[in-house]
Amino acid sequence: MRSRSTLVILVLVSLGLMTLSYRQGSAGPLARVERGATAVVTPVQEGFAALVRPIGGLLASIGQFGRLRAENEQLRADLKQLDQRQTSLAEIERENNRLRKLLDFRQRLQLVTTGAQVIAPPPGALEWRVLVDAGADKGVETGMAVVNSQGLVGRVVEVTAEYSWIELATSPSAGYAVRIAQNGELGALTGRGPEPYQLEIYDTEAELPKGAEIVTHSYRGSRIPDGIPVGLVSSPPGGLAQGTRYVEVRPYVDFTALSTVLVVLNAPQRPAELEPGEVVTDPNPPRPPPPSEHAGALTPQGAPGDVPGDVPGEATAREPQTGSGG
Amino acid sequence: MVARVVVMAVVAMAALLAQTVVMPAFEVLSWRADLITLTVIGFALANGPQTGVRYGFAAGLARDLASGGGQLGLSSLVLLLVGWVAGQSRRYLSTSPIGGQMVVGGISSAAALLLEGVLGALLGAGQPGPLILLQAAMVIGLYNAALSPVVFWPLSSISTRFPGGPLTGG
Repeated sequence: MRSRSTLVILVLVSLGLMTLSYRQGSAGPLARVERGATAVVTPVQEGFAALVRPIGGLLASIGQFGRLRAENEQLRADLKQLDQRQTSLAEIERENNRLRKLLDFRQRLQLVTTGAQVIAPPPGALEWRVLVDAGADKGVETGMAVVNSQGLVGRVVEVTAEYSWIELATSPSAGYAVRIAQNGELGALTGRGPEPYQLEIYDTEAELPKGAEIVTHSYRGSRIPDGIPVGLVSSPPGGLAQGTRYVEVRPYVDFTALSTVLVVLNAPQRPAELEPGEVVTDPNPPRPPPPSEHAGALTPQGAPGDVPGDVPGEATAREPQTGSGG
Repeated sequence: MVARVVVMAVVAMAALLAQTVVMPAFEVLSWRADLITLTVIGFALANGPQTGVRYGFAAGLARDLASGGGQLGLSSLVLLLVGWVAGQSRRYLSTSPIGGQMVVGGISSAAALLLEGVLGALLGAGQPGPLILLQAAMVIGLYNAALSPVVFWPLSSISTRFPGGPLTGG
């Protein structure tokens, strides 16, 4: 009887907490308590991780011996394939250089980032986030994109003075505007936990090249930089027919082995995103190449939406970090 | 009584740390065992529903707080219900303690995950599809069932060494 009354009381308290937490969002006193708890628990987690992770890693390696051996063989096979593809890579490089000259690329835009070490995932099984050791003290803010050398990792969802929570791109509540790098077709990408991403292509008649690369697409107000690699279209198997609206995308990032990530503090805006007052017309626009050469240059890998020459007016920015002025 | 509370708090903290730092290295089909839920079930089986409910609420609250930006109160609700159910079930486990504990550990863990997934979806938190949720419940249930004897044995020893008063039993 006593246990039932305790049960009822604590159920009511839990429901009350859930209601308050839901209503207050990230600005209320409960959220501040959560951030305080993160600030207290995280140093303990960091210390424990430094102590235990090498032992855990060793034990895990023993358990994964078979998988590692298979992976090793796969990597050897991949290396052989890469050797065979040297010639085509050289061809792509030459094509790339030609396109750069043709479209007068001046400088690749650089992202302003800060490095962060992944401390731990949350304790719950249905949470796709990680805690990192960079917070407001390093200029991190909510909504900023997080990347690593492989591509898009996620975005910052909560910041304390020294730590931040990153919602991984695989989270079912995460959504990103993306485009197919090859043809610029737009779509919406959503996470599905351990499964590949789901990509919804807006244009149902759009052609979806098999193995097409998906990159982020920035829009006004977004803090996600443009053109960050996301993954490759991987479904439906055996070819992609026209009219397919939903496809699977296999992420580039290995989310099981995240260690160091970069939080993007400042992403250069694309010229189309600038306010009218920030845009000036280039007084000496580059002369357009002959029509036949121009058309041919965009067919194999060129994405019309990706190149500065595709933006009307050859706009250049006042902001120095955009680097396209002059 | 105070020593018992302190020891249980240490167990909850240790489970939390092991869950976030150690268990990611031991994922099975992309899922980790749920040690925090296992400690709730372990204490409930050793002490009864009253302790299960109280410890479940506290451990769930700690898990919610350590998750940052999650649904505060969700884990505490799920785990206190798990603690109550597991505590109630202990009267049926007298004939085959270890096998029965493994069954209760596995089924309660799977049920906890499903309940958390459904409640999370109702509250608007992004959740994976039902098939992925079922797969997770199955894998974590089996994983937790396999770990049950290892986790329950020290919790049972702690409960014997630090017995609760008349208010803490079932």
